[in-house]
This record gives sequence, structure tokens and C-alpha cells, in this order.
Amino acid sequence: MANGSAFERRDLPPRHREVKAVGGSSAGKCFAMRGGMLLVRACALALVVTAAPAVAQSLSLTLNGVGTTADAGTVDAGTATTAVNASNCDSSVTVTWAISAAGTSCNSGLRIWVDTGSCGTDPDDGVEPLIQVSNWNTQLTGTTQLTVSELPGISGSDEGVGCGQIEKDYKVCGALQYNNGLSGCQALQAANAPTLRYDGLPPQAPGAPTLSSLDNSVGVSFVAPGDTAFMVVQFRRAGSTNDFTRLERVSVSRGGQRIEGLANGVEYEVQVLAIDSAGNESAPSPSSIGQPKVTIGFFSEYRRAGGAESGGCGAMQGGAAAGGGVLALYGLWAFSRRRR
Amino acid sequence: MRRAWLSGLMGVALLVGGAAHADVVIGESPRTSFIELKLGGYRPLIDSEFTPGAGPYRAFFGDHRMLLGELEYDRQLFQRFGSAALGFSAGYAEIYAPTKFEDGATTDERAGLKVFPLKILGVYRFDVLAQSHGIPLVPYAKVSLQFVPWKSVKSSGTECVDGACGSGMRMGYGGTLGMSLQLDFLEQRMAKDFDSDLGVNHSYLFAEWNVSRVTNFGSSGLNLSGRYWMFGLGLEL
Repeated sequence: MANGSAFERRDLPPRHREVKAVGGSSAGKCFAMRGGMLLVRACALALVVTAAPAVAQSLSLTLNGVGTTADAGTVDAGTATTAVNASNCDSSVTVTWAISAAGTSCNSGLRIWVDTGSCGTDPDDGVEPLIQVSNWNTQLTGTTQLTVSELPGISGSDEGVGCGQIEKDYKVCGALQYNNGLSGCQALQAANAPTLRYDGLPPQAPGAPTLSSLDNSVGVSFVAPGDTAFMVVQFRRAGSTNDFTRLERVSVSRGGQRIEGLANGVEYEVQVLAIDSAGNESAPSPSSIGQPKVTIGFFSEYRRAGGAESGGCGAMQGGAAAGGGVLALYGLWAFSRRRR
Repeated sequence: MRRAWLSGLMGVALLVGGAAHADVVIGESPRTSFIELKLGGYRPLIDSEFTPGAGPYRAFFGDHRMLLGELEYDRQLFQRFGSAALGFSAGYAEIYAPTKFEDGATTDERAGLKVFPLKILGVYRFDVLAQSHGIPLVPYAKVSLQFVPWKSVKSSGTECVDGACGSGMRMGYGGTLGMSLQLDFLEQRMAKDFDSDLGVNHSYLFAEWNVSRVTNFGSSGLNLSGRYWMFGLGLEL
């Protein structure tokens, strides 16, 4: 009943004898059986059984848990790329595997390795797997650690110690050997090969920001250099030697930010920094000097023109009481109508 | 086309007419209330507090009006000769313009004025001709007691000047004259279905002229009075 299994009902009436063998791919034969409920059921059973060897074997890999700090790395779900930078040099990326298989482990079993090119069913010569699980049947899911500093070509790439200032993409590859009892030991490549991007290069420093004077605030507009995911605005009083105060980083698409809570008439020194998706931060931009100024909104215009309004409910308490009374009467009336 | 249009009205009725009667009736279902949804251009008479040409509203917002939207509910009390009702309405309008520096140059910042008119209304609709003679025009009049919370905003907050902050509430009264066009004649069968299925007796398009005096009954301060047209859709339930 396994591969190419045959189903045969020799005791059937002649009109059904045409259906003798029903193979796993013999859908057409199944259609030929219509007319006998018993045979229809038998056909369905045969399809299930013979389809068993065709159950998709799959191996999927995911990367997560990059580093330990907030900026340690980001995952771009759209491109399945995990980015790390030099500050993650001593950190590890967790590689999780999940196997869906109907066969049994054979030969080298499961292997996961890193490749700088494309993945296949075997690691390149000289590449040691991150992990090898000889009998994956007992371990259909699991994790292994990939230390950033052990990525090929990372250590000392800037002729220094630790991870260097380079930018490189790595594929995390996986393959398993399985035997479904039909064709001997076969190799299966992972359905996906997540990319781990080591980015040790910070973006270029942005140009000086454009500032606009606002009331107790300064508007900051910036142009982000390439390879930038976020921008950070920092400021301090002009001429001060204090540290800059940083605002929350914002997405490049914002195009600008606003520094609030400043004093009108005081000059402020403002810089911007670019941050890439791996968390590398650029050098600060050249400084721009901005000065918040008093701006006139409608209420200022009104008051300057001599308007008497000072806000609040003013002299309308009596009217409010009258209005409230009318509303209350209306509510009572509506309530009494509803009860009736 | 008309069918699609009336279907749209039914959709609006489903949204705003949750309290509609769903009883199956022979003839017309009882008329108890009226719902109106309306829009209009409202320019408060703030500048009337100042000498002509020196008004802050025109100086800041120019000749632009605020787009005022209102939702009104009327409960009918009398239906023997026309219909009289007591109602309540709530609305919202805003207008924005760039702020200015002392030298008059505009900035990248915007400031605005928001108002939230609330009204208690007495309404009379002369619907005798529409009810008894099939003439689809219904003139009406309203008087109202008005409460108008307002706010002057800048940089997403209330604008304050020398300790005075630009928000508060003004009160006043107003009157309205309007004319409604009963739409039933466009598709009478559908209008009846509208009544039997959803309890909407009649649908109207209307235009009305509003005059209000919102000055806290003559006290000084922001004058939110206005003279303006409103246009909208009405459903009699």
C-alpha cells in the first residue's frame, strides 16, 4: 500500500472492473470510478496512502536574539535580513531550525553553516558547520548560536582587534539528509537562507541641518545620507561646552524634527547624526545656529488688537445655569415620555 | 441612478437612524423625530469688536470661512398643524493659518481657531402641504439657545498670551429660517419601503439661513455670532 500501491476489487460487478489499479497519481482513474460509493471511498484512501511519500519535507531557519543592547541589531522582515555591527562583535545571533519531515535522518543528518555566497545542500570545502545533528528525528526544532566575531573575514578585517569596519552579507544555510523509504538517502536544502549582514561601516556624516525659528522651539530639517535608517537631532546653547542634548531618533522619512521647550531669543547650536539599520552612528553634521522667536497666533493677534477676551467661561455663569436648567427640563421631559 | 441615490440615503439612515422604528406598518408609520446632518461656511463676527479694518480674524485668517458641520436631533411634540419639536445639535468648525513673526513675516508654524457649537432648539416645520397635498416643500423656522466652547491653538496646544489662555465658552441665541425639499416624490415606492423597513417617514434636502448672537448676552469678549447658510440632509423618523 505504500509507493505505487494498487487497489483492486476483483469481486466487483463487471461495470466496475475497469478500475483495477489506482496509483497515487491516478486521479483520472478515480474519476472513472464514479457510480459506486464503495469504490469512491476506496479511491480516496488510496490517494492518501500513496501521497504519503510526497508530503513536503521542509527545513526552515530563522535568526533572532541579536546582541544584548537596544541598538544591537534590527530585523528587516521584508528582506529577512538581520543586521549587526561592530558593537555586537562579542554577541551571538540565535539560529533556530524547524524540520517538517516524514522520513528518517540519514548520513550527515542536519547541518547548518554560514556561507558568503549562495547556499547548496553541502557546505563549501573547509567550511565547518555551526551545528550538525546526526539524528534529527529526535530533534525537529532547535537552536544554535552564531558568534559575530567568528563570521568569516570579520576578525581583524581592519587590521585591528575584533570586528572590522567592513560591510558584508552572509547566508545562513541549512540542509538535511533524509530517507523516506523509497529513494534512499536524499538531501534537502533549507527552504530559506536568512541573511546576516555585518555592517561595521557608519553612514557618512549628514550635511548641516536647516533650521526655522518658531515660538519657544526650533524646526529642524535634514537630508539623510545613503545607508541611513534613522536620524538623531542634538542641540545645546550656542557657545556652550556642555554635552549636546539628544532627541529621540526618528525615521529618515520624517525629514525633520522639532526641538521644543527652548527660550525665545537665545541661540542654539544644532547638529544631526545618521544611523544605519545595523545601528552604526555617523559623525555629527556641521552645526547650524537657530534662535526661537515669538510667533503670533490668532489669540495673540486678537489680544494685540485690544480684544477683551481673556479665556475661560467669563461672565456667562448665569447663562450656563439657565442653559443647564433648560437641558435638565428637556431630559426630564424625554425621560417621562419614554416611561409612558 | 435615482435608485442608487436613494439607496445611499438608506445607508445614511442606517448610520444615523439607529433609533428608527422597524415596525411593519400599513400606511405611514408614526412620525416622532427628525435628524439633520448639515454643513456650512461660518465666519464668526469676531472683528465686530474692533474698529472696521482692524479686526484680528481677517488679519489672521483673511476672508476665509470655517467649515462648520452639525448634527441635529429634534423630538416632535405637536403635529396637528405642521410639526413643532424640541431639539439638540452639536457641531464643529476649525480654521488654520500660518503664524507670524513680529515683523509680519509668516512662519512654518500654524495656528488655528476651533469652535464646538451646541444648541438647544425649538423647531416648527410647516409640513401641512407636504403631508396633505403632496407639495414637497416644507418651510421651517428654529430658535435656539447656544453654547459655544472655543479654543485658539498653536503648536498643538492652547495659545496663551500674557497669562490669558485662548479657550473658553460663549453663550447666546439664534434663529434659523429654512426650506426643505421632500425627496419622496423622486421614488415613492422606495420611500415607502424606507418607512416600512427602517421607519424613515421622509427624506429631505434643505437649505437654511442662520443668524446667531453669541456674546454672552452682550458682555465683552470674543464675539462668536454669525450669519451663514447651512445645507444638509434630513430624515424624519
